[in-house]
Amino acid sequence: MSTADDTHAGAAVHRDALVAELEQRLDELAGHDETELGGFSAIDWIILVLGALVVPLLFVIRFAP
Amino acid sequence: MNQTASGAAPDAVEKEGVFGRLPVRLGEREYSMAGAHGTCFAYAIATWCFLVGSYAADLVGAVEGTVCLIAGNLIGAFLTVMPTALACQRHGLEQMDYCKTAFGQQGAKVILLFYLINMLGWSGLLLVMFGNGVFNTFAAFGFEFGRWMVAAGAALGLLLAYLITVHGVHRLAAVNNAVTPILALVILYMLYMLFANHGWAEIAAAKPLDPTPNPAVNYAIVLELGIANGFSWWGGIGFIARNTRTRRGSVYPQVIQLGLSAGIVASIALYSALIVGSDDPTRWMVPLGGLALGSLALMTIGIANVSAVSLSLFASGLTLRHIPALRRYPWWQVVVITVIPCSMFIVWPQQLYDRGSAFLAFNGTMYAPICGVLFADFFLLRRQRVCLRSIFDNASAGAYHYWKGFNPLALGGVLLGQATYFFLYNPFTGSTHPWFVYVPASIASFVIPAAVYYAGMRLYGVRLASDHRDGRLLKPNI
Repeated sequence: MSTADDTHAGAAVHRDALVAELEQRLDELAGHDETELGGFSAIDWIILVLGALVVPLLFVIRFAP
Repeated sequence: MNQTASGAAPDAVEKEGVFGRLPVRLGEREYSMAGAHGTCFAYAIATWCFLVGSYAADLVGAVEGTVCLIAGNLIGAFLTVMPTALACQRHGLEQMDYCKTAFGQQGAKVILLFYLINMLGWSGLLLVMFGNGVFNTFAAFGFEFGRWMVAAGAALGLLLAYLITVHGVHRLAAVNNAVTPILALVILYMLYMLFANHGWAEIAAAKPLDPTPNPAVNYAIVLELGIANGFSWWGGIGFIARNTRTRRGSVYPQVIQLGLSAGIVASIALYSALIVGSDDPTRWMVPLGGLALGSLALMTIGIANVSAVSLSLFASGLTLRHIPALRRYPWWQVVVITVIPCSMFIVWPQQLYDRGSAFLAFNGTMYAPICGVLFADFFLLRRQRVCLRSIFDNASAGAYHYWKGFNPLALGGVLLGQATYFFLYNPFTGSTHPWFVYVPASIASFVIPAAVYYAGMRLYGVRLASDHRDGRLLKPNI
């Protein structure tokens, strides 16, 4: 059975590993080529604004009592 | 398996990356466009949509309700998805971490509280629905019990959800993968029975169950429920987005499924409530499908409720890991903490269940201002550039430290948004301002905090750095 000290020591090792891993991931993500993430252009905005805002609002106004 | 930087405890570290707070690498992300659609669809058709549709049936008929529920869900989902999905996808971030850019290192914990209220409130409502399902299943076979059976059913549902949640994400995923297609079949079956036995003319002519005297107010409240339901997806946006590979894959599935599909399922629930004449979803199945198939459908919905509660408990448990004092506790103990508030729904099931529509609207008071602040922050102020390293640095010189870890402008904006909401519509008393029929309370409480926050940040010249001053973490907050 582990003691409280073992648990704390284990937690400290785990946290050190986490921080090291975090640093590595931050460096990796900061260096990403934006094209890898795919595009999101003005066309996407137009489609979404029309489809999810303007058209629904027009329907809401049209059917209001 | 990925090798960790230090080589220590690789399994634990990898789990943190995928299910915890470490930013997710592109190579680790699970969802293609199709995968994200599938996961969002599973969220969208979960049984909470039944509750939304049933509350709408109290106030409006089928045509007006369909418009309000679909349009409202789309509008709410769009406004909540855009900043959070694009930011979390770009950086592989968990959503509470992303909130730190606007609310500050400590201020994000206030948002965490809102998030927990939302998740656990939904869980409680679904548990009572499960209890009602147990009660009504027995009743369908001629076994009449007292209302204590509802509380006993809710307790059983909570126990089952707890057992699924403590066994981890793989058990959770297995249950959800099994439940979702069956639930989709039940919904299609409901729709078929509605149209085969009653037809659109009868559905469209059905009167609302308990409307107020003012049709314009009824319409505005149901539109508000739809928008608030769209906003209430906020809690799940980051988890999906950080696991998607492309920007479009993080946005379109969430808007289409959480907005459109959820609105459609809520509308089917609305039709069922109008035809059966009850706003209790567990009373619809037997009248619609007959004793045998109806009871089977009822049991399926019961299992789906437990599955949805497990998802909520799991997400709430992960969120509690943001509190440093809880990070060292074993997972089962963290889940127990999430179970405690849900147990209130066992003690007062009907009383709390009857306030469900107020709770749904209350989600709007919480999330609309948060989304407004995040929208203004991400798109207008930062032009989609955030400092990933500063998010994980608690140092007082950090870009997101603000004032003692809090950004008073963002938190003040949320309070202002909530006041605006209650000024237009008080979901607890049902009182409305005359302007409410022209301006949905959620939209006002989105726009006003966004404008005030933007103006305040510009006026006070708050630093909007997208780079980290030291290049390494001074005080890691993980």
